[in-house]
Parts: sequence; C-alpha cells; structure tokens
Amino acid sequence: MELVTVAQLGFSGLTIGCVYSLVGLGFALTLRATELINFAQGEMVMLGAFLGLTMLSSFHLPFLAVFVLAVILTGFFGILMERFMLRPILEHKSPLLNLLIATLGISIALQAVAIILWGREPVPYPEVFGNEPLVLWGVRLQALNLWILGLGLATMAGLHLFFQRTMTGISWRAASLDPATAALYGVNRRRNVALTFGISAALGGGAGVLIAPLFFASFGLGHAVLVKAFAAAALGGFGVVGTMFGGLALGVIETLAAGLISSEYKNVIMYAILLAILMFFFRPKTPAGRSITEGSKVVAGQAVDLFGPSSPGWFKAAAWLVGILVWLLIPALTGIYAMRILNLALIFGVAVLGLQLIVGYTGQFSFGHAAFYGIGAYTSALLAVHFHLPFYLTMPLAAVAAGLAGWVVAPLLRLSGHFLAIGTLATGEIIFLLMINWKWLTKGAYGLYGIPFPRLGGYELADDAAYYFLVSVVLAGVYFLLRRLTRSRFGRALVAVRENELASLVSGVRANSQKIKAFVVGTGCAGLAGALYAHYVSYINPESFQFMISVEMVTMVVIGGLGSMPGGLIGALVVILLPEYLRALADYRLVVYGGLLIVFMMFLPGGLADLGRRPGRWLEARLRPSAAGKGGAGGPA
Amino acid sequence: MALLKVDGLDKRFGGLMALSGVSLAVEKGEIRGLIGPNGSGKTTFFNVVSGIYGSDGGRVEFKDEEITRSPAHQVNRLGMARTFQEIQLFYDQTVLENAMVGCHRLSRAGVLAAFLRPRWVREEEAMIRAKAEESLAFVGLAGAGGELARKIPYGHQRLLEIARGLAGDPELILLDEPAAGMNQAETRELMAHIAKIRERGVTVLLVEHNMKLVMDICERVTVLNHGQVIAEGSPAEIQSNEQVIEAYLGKARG
Repeated sequence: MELVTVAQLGFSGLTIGCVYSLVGLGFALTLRATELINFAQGEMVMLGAFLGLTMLSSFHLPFLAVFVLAVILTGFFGILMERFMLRPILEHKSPLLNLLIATLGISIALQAVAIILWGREPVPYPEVFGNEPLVLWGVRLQALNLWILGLGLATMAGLHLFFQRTMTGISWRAASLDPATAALYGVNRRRNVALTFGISAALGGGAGVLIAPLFFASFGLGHAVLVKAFAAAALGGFGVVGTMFGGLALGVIETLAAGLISSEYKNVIMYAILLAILMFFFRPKTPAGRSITEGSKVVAGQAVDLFGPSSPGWFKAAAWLVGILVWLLIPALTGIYAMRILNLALIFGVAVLGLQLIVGYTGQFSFGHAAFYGIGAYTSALLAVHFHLPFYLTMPLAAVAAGLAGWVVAPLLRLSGHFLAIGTLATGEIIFLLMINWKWLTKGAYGLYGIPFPRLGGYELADDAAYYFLVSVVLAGVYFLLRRLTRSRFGRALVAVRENELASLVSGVRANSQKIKAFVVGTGCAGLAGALYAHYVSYINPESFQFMISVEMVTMVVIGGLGSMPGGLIGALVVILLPEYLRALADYRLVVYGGLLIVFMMFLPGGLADLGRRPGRWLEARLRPSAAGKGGAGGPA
Repeated sequence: MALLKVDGLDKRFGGLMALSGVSLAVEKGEIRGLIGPNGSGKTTFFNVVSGIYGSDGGRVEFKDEEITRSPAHQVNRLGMARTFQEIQLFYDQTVLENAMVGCHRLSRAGVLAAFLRPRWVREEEAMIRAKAEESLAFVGLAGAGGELARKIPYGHQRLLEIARGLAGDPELILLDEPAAGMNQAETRELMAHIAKIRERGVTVLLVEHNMKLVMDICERVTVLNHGQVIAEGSPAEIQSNEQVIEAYLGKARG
C-alpha cells in the first residue's frame, strides 16, 4: 500500500469525520444537559441537508450563506421541538424510556414529512465547486472536501470558544455539572435546555449541508450518521473537545477500514468499535439504586384480574366459551387481506411478548430485537430449504438459534440505560449487516425464496385461515408460559432487578444472571416468531429485520404498556393494524404514527393496558366494595 | 467464635482513604453499634462488607468463610442481610412481593421450574409466601401486604426494608441508620423491633446517629473516625472516652 493512498484515504476520513464530530457534539450536549439521548438528532442532519438543497437549487444562494442559514433554521427548529414536544415530557418527570420513544416518534414523523416534501429518492446536490482538485504531495484535495473540513473545523472552534469564553457558555457548563446549584446562582435551567437543543440541532443541520454533497440528500441520511456520530461522542467521553477528536478519528478509521480491509465490512467494524468503547468505558461500576423505567409501567400488583381466583366460576366458564367462539369464528368473518394483516400482527405478538419480558419486566432496553427475529427466520428457512427438515423441528431450532445469539451478546447487559439502548442498536445493525454480507448463506439482499409452508400431520398449512390457527396456538402457548414465568420466584426477581438493582443484589438476587436469562428467553421468542414469519410469507430478505422493525417492536411494548403481558399483545395488534387503517392517509400515515408516539408519551405513559384497567378498576369498585376501599386508600393511581 | 471478622480493611476513593486498617469482630447474638462523625466511613464500611464495593486491602470473614471478594448477592446468600440509609425498595411491587424477594436465598426455582411448575415449586412458593408474611407480621406490617411499596408511609418503608432483610432468615443484619427521619414514637417502636430481632437469633450490626438509641440497646459500640477505629467498648466506656469526645466535639482548649 502506497503512502499516498493512505494519505488520500486519511484526508477523506477527516472530511467525513468532521461531520461525525458535529452531529456527535449534538449528542454530547443534550446528554450532558438533560441525560437524554436524542434519537431525532439524525433527522436534524436530514433537515439541514434538504433545507440546504432547496436553498441551493431554488434560490441559488452561495454555499457559505446556505450553510449559515441551514444552521440558523435547524437551530430554531430544535428550540421549537424542545419547547412543544420534549419539554412537556421532560418536566413530567417521565422515565428515560418514554423520552427515548418520544424522540423516536419525532424522528419517524420528520422522516415521513421529508418523504412528502422531497420524495423517497436520494437527491444529488447541484455542483457548487469545480472538479479540479488541489494536488499536494500527490494527494488530491477536492475543493468540496476542503470546504467541508474548513467549515466544520471553524464551527467546532467557535463552539469551543463559546463554552470557554462567554458567560452563557460557562453557565451552561456549570448547569451540566450540577443543575440545582447552578439554578441557585441564577442559571435558568429551562433556557439552558432550550439552548442545548437549539445548538445541537444547529450542529446537526450544519453537518447535513456539509455531508449531503457527498452522499445526496435523502430521508434516511440521519439514520446513516446517527450511530457513528454517537460513537464519536462516546469515544470523546461526551466532552466538547473529546467529541471533536472522536469524530475525526472515527472518520479516518472508517475510510481506512473501507479502503484497506473491506468496504462491505466497514460498518461492521465501526459498530464493533462502538461496542468495544461502550464495554470498556461506559460500564457502571456500582449498581443503580433507581429504576430506569420508573413511573411508566403498569403495576403488576394492582392488576384487576377478572379471571383471578376471586371471580365466580360461571363467569370464567362463560368468558372462556365466548373467547373460543370468537377465536373460531374470526377466519369465517374476516376477509383475506384483513386475515393476512391479523396473522402478521399475531406473529409480531410472539416476538413482542419476548421483548416485553426484557424491557417491561427486567427494565433492559433492547433496540435490536428484530435482528433476533431475523436469526430465527433465517435459521428455520435455511433448515427447511437445504435440509428439508419439518416445521415442527425448524421452529424450535429457530428459537434455540436466536436464544443462543441472545446469550452471545448478553454481556452487553452490563451496560445500563441509554448505553444499553445504543449497544443493542449496534448489535442489531451488525447482525443485519451480516445477513446482507454473508451471501453464501443468506443470498444477501436478494433474499431467500421458496420457503415451504409448514406441514403438520400430512396437511399443508398454506391458506391464511389455517395459518391463523397455527400462529394463535403458538402465541397462546408463549403467552401461557411467559405468564407463568412472570408470576414465579424468577419473575418476581426480574421485576426486583428492574425496580432497584442494588436492593435486588443485597436480597441475594444475582441480577446479571437474571438479566441474561430473561434476554435469552426473550430473544428465543423472537426466533420463534421469525420462524412463523418466514414460513408464512415464504420469501425473506434482510429488510424485514432492520432497525426500524426493532423500533416498531419497542413501540408495541410501550404503547401496549410496560410490564404487562396483555399489554404486549394489544400493542402488537394496534401498531400493526393502526397503520393499515391509516392507509387512506397515504404518505401522511407515518407522520400520524410518529405523532401518536409522542402523544402517547405525553398523555398515556402507562400504555393501553393502563387505559384498559380503568374500566376494570371501576368495575371492581362496583362489584367488590371492600377491595375497592383498600385500593382507593392509596390515592389516585 | 466471631460471626463477622474484619481484619485491616482498606478502601480508597481516589486519594482519600475512606477506610484504613479497620478491624472489628462481631460475636454471634450481639447488638453492635457502629458510630462516628459524618464522613467517618461507616456507610463505606457497610458497602465493602456487604460486597457492593470491592476493598483495597484487608480481609472479611463471615461464618469463617472469606467473603472479601464475594459479590453482594453471594454475601446475602451466606446469610447476611442489610438495609440502606437511603431506603431502597422495589417501589412498584407490593409490600408482600418485596418481602418475598427477600426469601430469594432460601429458594431455588428457576426458569424451567417456573414453566413446568412441579409440586416442589408450588410448595416452595407457599413457603416463600409464609416466610414473607411472617416477617411482615414481625415488624407490624401484616395488614399492608397488598399495598404498593411506594404508597406506604416513610416509617413503614423503613420497617419494610428490615422485613425484607429478615425474610431470608439471615444470621446477621446490617442496619444503616434505621432511625433516620423517624420521630420519637417511631424510634421507640423501632428500638423494640431491634431488640426482638436479636431474640430471633439474628445478630445486629447497626450504624446510627441517634445516640440514645445506640447507648440503650447496644452491648458494645465501635467508633470510627477518618476511616479508622478509634475506640471500642461498652456504651459507658465509649461515653467517657477522651478520643471519642474529641472526634465529635473537637479538642478542648487549654
């Protein structure tokens, strides 16, 4: 390898790294001011890119003016976003998970708006600078790259001066160390948080204008830089100067890895580096005495169980009878299309129940669940296609494979809170990229065709109604087993770990092993669901197992209600069925979907299961006055 | 033979020696007080002994077994329970469930057992429930089992933490400022409970700022100052010890 080539790669790396630094700084600032990882930070990049595009191609403004305007406009947008979407949730003392979901909602809605305004196809930037590069010692320095590097470094220098030299910057730093004390000295916390979101968004927007000429403006641009920018911030210890160098280093590593090792695996390498950073530097040393999902979950102890031992026998029998009748009649009363959607919802239900165990009961964020769902799908499909194994073998094997993969990545569970969220996200992406890159096994992006329908006892379950019965029986089995699990000594200990890891440890609970076991069971459920999916649709490709699907699964858990198995099911049904009913809205569908997530986090943080309990509590109050009197003493729930 | 034997325990936080060469032996069946001015290392001592922090030197033995490097859950499983100065409960679980988690060390049902739920698991579950209910009744929370831990009054939350500790039938319980935030009546009630804990055959080691409580119920008191043991003896001896008075009040002039 010639030195010039390395230098050339290094130069490109610095250019792209500069962008990672800018976006990463946004992460670092919001994390330090609010302890929040803002998933919508990526969309600020996208917003900046599209605003810049419009200004360049429609108004023909000079590049420098476009950059400055994009910074100002996205900064302003960031302030609005904080004021009207995040502040109501932040000041509600909401749990971390809710805030995270709210920023995801913003991210989804913004992407959908971008699709409506600018279309789905990536749009190239107009040629602003000449193609004639400056050649220095044999290294070709393109004008565009020089501009990116110059503007990026100038912005970072300005930011550094702002934090070191201005009163506002200094009081910001004081408040990020100790908001309460800073408030005593007159630092306005609200204005500080608004300022943080403004600056972070502005940095993202500026980065968008810089990166779009290289990679085109597209609605997915934000997602592409999100994780790497976060890695930059993590590498820099979430400090201002650290993040600057972190981003530049990552950019150089990325281009060198792509140029010298393999361009297909460069992202795998990047994500692996992120995981290594997290595991080495961000593992909490002492266990947390505070619950990360505090306040949001539905309370198991307060559940009104209409089928509990206290309800009369005839009521139980009647409920079972009605239930079975409805279950049998659904295929007769439902159209083919609706049946298909329902089946998919039930399949998701199996995976989501597993995720509910991990997130809702054990309190561990997982943003990579879809990857395990994918492992199950590929395992079952490959075993059926290549070895002609019957479905009743491939399905359990799929669960085992996914659970095994869950066990392999389980050391991640030593991370906590947001860092676990990012860690599982990166893991999911690595698995997704392997599905694409291991073409010898998975056929890559082309996908696997001809996955046979399940045969059970000589009967092929090819039509939707038959599949409905298969899926619902599996779902019922999983539901039954998980319900047993959550109501056991093991389940009690899981909730104890969620509620207070420190107290669980001194009560003799081996918290880490509990988390790992819950994770393995949960990912096993995802594998089971994957097998059901693969043999239903008969064609799978990695697209179905990407990050957005993981997000959707978490959404199902949260909307349904954390810490509630029925909630997990309801969540799966609503999230799959709702967009179908919103189909009339066409492209506006995802805007509504993202908006609903934010609204849910604002007004119904306990999820639908909590809403469903309200009539239950009312009913209980009428039926059993004595019990109601006891429950009511604690005040409003 | 001492139940808990600590020998030359060191703990550093950066440049600060939080504990240096702390040695102490707690006999089976005693109520031992651990006192000292703020920042003298009492809570740190509890955290190291119960396995939450690692130590930087020295040795801890419990029931003749070395536990210096044992993690917190293992220390509990050997039979050492503890409470915290800042109450640490499972707030969104019920009072009964909190106490049931305290029985973890006496039971063993895992994932598979929960799925299959054979007879021994059902029997074990009944045992856990009985133990939890008994320990709740012991601290006077028998009626509150169905309430959420977050909804019961502060004084009851302190008692619940003790009940959770006792539910697992420990041989030693470490109480970290159990009377903090309690009024006089509650404190008196607490003192009665502590005396009863010993009658159950549980040895008590307690950190407390309420001197009346310490002097009334402890047979022996150990005094820490700047991470070192400066005195040990009966309450009367401690009260007249020059060094102790100096540590609390400063040196008398002249």
